Amino acid sequence: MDDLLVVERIRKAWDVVALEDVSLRLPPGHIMGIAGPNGSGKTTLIRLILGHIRPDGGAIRVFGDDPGLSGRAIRSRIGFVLDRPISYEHLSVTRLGRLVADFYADWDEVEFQRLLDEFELPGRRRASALSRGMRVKLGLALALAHNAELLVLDEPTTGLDPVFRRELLARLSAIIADGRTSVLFSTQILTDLDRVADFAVFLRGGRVVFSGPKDDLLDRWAIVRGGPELAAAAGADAVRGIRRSRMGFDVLFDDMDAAKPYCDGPAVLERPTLDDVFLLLGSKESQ
Amino acid sequence: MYIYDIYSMSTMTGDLDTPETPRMRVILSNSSSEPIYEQIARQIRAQIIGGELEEGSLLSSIRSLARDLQVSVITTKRAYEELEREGLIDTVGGKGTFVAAQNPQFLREKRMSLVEEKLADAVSEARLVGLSLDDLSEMLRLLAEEE
Amino acid sequence: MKALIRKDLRLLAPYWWLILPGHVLFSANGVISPEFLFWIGVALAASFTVGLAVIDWRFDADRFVAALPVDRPAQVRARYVGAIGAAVLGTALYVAYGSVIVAAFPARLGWRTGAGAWNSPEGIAVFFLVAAALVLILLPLLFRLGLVRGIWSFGFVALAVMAVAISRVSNAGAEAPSQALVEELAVFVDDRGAAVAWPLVLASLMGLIWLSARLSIAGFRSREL
Repeated sequence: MDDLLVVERIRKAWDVVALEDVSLRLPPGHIMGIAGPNGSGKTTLIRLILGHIRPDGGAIRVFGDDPGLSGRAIRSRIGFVLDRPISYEHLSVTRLGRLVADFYADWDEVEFQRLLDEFELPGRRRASALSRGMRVKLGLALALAHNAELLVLDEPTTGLDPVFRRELLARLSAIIADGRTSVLFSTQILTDLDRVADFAVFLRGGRVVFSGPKDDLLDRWAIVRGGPELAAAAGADAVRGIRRSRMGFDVLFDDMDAAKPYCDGPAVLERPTLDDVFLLLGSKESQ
Repeated sequence: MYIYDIYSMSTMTGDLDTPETPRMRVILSNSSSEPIYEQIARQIRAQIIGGELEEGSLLSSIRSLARDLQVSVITTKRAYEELEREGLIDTVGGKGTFVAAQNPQFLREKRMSLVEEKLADAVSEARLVGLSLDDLSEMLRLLAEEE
Repeated sequence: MKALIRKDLRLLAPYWWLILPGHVLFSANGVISPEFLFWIGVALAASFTVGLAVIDWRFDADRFVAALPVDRPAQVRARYVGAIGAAVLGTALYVAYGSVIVAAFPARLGWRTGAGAWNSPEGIAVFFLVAAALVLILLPLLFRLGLVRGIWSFGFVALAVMAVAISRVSNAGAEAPSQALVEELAVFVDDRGAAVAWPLVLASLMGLIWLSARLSIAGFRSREL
């Protein structure tokens, strides 16, 4: 099946964040997590996908179409939770539901009510009286009640307690279980990608520093921590980052087999965590 | 650590009266150095070879397994691909993944290689604590007699 | 488009209990003079548009709405339908309030009857035209610049218009700006004949709406949300 989302060599100057040469692909039935610190371009990328802004260069295709030209048709198949998870908080949960329902031909009121029940959202409560977590849930209920094929979530886990974070991520993997729907979410917390994400994208300063199946990172990549003699590894093909540590060097390899020759003696070989990868990726040995 | 019991929905024969529903048990450890997909594959493999999952049993789909285990779809897919390559499971397009028909010879070989694997582990552990080969065989003999 | 208009009405729903008595209360001041009733009525009609813009701004709703399956020209058109609708409703209320006041205080000074009076066809038309013109100027500024800068620029435009209007009114010697406009329209209708003048007025109004909407759509399209 065709990719739901294709981003090709996007450039966009926007406020302080400038996206440079960003490319991604998301096939149906998968979860893509975009991680990066504040100002790395996550929200800008999401705005481009939703057609809120246009790229300066490159191309974006959502369901095969340009969101700048057929934004309306594309958005009818997208469910979204933005960094402000909902709006018009002066309305009650039910009234907000009705307001949003008007916009979707495929609105499923039964499903919406079921989600409200499941998320324990009181229909008569004003949205302004909901906690951030509850607002994210309401946003998610709104996003899931119209048979969306692509879910776009901008930092849904920010400000949530760990229990609800887990619950939310678990829900994402339930959403894609139909094999048709995909999820794209951004986060500042790398461990959000740990389990359910199929594809990980790391953004730093508007550039993609890693993009690919997350399992590649966790299963194939390796870190060698060792003494000063590791400096010799710097030139190797498989080396993706190297950083001076207190004892010598930490070297990130994208191939465990290539790393093994370097860990004779006191050097140790480790599977990297996502944090390790993010920290080391692209870093050069500083003198 | 996360423990999940996954009950497959039905058997291929559709015989709902079987007293025991075939079930897949997968336990994942985050701290293990073994990749998640390998942990999944190893445990399912053991259950197939050990006969807990019978020939023809329908396994959870890649996607529902991923959902239940809270791991990526790519991870479960990779685990199934590995088992498929080993001939332990078959994926029938549109119907699901089943425990493959095993020929007894093949199964025996598989079980033997499992024994071999575990013995290899024992050997390397023994080396670490400085046990000699004789000490190790003595230990093995005692264990076997105990049973 | 239907969903967008319904959305705007839903947004105001929690405030109706405030809007309705407020409308009566404000309009009651119209008892002072037709001039008062005129400007209060115009301001209330425009407050529909301003109120919605304030709600959108208050709830940071631009991106939320833009993420729904809508396109920007439809968003603009929906706001125009609402704004013109509010002007029509405001005109009807203007006539209704005026009638009540005249019936209750028949001898009230300043409530002339007959040609050029507040409730003559020219008087009612001028009310509607002014109420419409206000939002037709305001909307492109709001769509291009957003609420805060939009209202600021509108303030400047309004000042300029008022300066011109006051100089014209003092030249004409009429006692009140709305009265002067009504008289000008009456003269215009007399000169051309009703059969020509009214279609002309209608055509210029349509032209103005079209132009304003084009500006709004162009301004809103280029805005990055």
